[in-house]
Amino acid sequence: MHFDFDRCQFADLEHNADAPALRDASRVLDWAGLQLAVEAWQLRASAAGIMPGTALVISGHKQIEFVVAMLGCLRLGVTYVPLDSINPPQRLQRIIELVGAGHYYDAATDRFEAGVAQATPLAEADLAYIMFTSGSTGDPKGVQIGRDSVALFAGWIRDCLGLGARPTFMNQMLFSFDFSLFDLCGALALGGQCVLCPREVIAAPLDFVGYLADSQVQVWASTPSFVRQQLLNDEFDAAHLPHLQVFVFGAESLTPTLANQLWARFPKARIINSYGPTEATCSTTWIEILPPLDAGTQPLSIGRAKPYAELFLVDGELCIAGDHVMRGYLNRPDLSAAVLFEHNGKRAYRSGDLAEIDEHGRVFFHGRRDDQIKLHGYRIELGEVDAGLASLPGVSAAATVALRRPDGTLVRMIGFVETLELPAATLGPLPTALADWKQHLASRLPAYMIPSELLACGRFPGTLSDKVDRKRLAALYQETRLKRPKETQ
Amino acid sequence: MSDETLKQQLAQIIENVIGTAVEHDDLLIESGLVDSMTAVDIVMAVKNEFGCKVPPTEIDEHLESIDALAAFIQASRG
Repeated sequence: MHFDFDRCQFADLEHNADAPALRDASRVLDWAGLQLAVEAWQLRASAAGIMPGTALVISGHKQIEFVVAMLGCLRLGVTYVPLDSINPPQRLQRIIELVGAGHYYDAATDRFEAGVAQATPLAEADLAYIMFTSGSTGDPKGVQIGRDSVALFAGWIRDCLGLGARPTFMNQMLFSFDFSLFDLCGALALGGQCVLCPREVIAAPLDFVGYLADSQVQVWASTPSFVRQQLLNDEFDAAHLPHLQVFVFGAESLTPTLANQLWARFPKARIINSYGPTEATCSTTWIEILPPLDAGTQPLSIGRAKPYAELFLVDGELCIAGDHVMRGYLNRPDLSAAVLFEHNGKRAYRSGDLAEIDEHGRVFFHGRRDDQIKLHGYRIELGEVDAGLASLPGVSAAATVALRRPDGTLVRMIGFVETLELPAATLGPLPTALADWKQHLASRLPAYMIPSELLACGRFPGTLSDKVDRKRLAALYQETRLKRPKETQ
Repeated sequence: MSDETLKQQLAQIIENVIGTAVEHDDLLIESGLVDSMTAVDIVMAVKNEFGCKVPPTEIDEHLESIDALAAFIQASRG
């Protein structure tokens, strides 16, 4: 059996119905069981009053029920909005309001809960999902992806990657991030198995390897950061995970060093690098990385365009055209107009990524043209973190800086709050009222958006256009650390 | 190798990883200077440089500061 994303239905019903389809920390569900569970869920959703053409927020973390609900929505023509429980309740509520969802489904309790009083029909038809990404003004923006775009994505995994029959995928990325769809769509479209890995399993390295070995995982998709963490565990190798054959990376830069470290542990593994913004359905380019690689020689390509995607540069900015490009940001025609345009009769998206395309069509990434960063694979608008910091008690202005190494790679975020107690452009300790700033911020922002440090600063250094000069703030931080007096007491 | 040389080497390793100068008694993890990802890089660098491995479950303890990390390395060398 498999799930046909073109028609949004289960297909090939008589084959391998008893093969495992989904696994989570508590159970395994076979394909026949999955089909039954989705049908039963659809009946309950309809009985709860969830209508096609509206949005349903799904909240949870790596439960089989989460996937059942996503498939149920696709079958019913309901647009799902996936939200991992890493998001604080305040953000969940805000997103329920933004999408006008009459309900949300809690995958942890398997219950439908009340959303807004009157569900708002979505203006855009045939949407598979709306995924929220960081918004520079502080409000997350909803990327609307069509059902046809998801079918194209699933077709690419099925037809282009040579993953074999019915492969088993590891699924670790949060469902709030679209790269998590790689494992799900791949496993479902190919009639394989998707192994959901909750954070409590991942947190215990030996258990995690045991869980993956027991499930005979063959395909691994993650950020490079995540795999790097696994390298601390000596058991993360081909001897303990003999079925693991393919690594797929995305969401941040893959380095030759990491690829070589991985081959040292898994000498026969294939490594695929991929790139694509959420606005263009998970991924737009891909390339197989082939050994041997000279470490440190040159950055790896993020790939060539997929069959259904067209890529071109406008003033160095990478533009993406094709049916996999989003239908716009939810209820934000202003934001949509700024990035969407038509190209050869297709929707096209200005990515904000600076790039170079060589004569073989290979794309090389050269950074961003705005204040968006990718920290350990998480996409963050510094403006959204600024807005979060500005909501702290007694704070009127705040700025966030991405600290980089001399080679330009990102290390972490540092927050600054403006204070009149200090001379202009001088750093100092936080006022005592902000002692519990991390807890405050956690009620508003997911953990990956919380800066590692927060400092007070006299009047912020400004740019000519009167914006906060983030570069100057970063330099100020480094200078202050270098010349600070010994203050051991 | 003297304790002081070891600490200077560690300071250099850590500075390369986190992009910030550090003192020997700076609290690395508690202050936010080192997070779970940069901790991985430091542990790998220490393993390559000194041949001793910080167990994944003891990272918070041995990476508390350069002083703590130096003590761990000296102890594991015996």
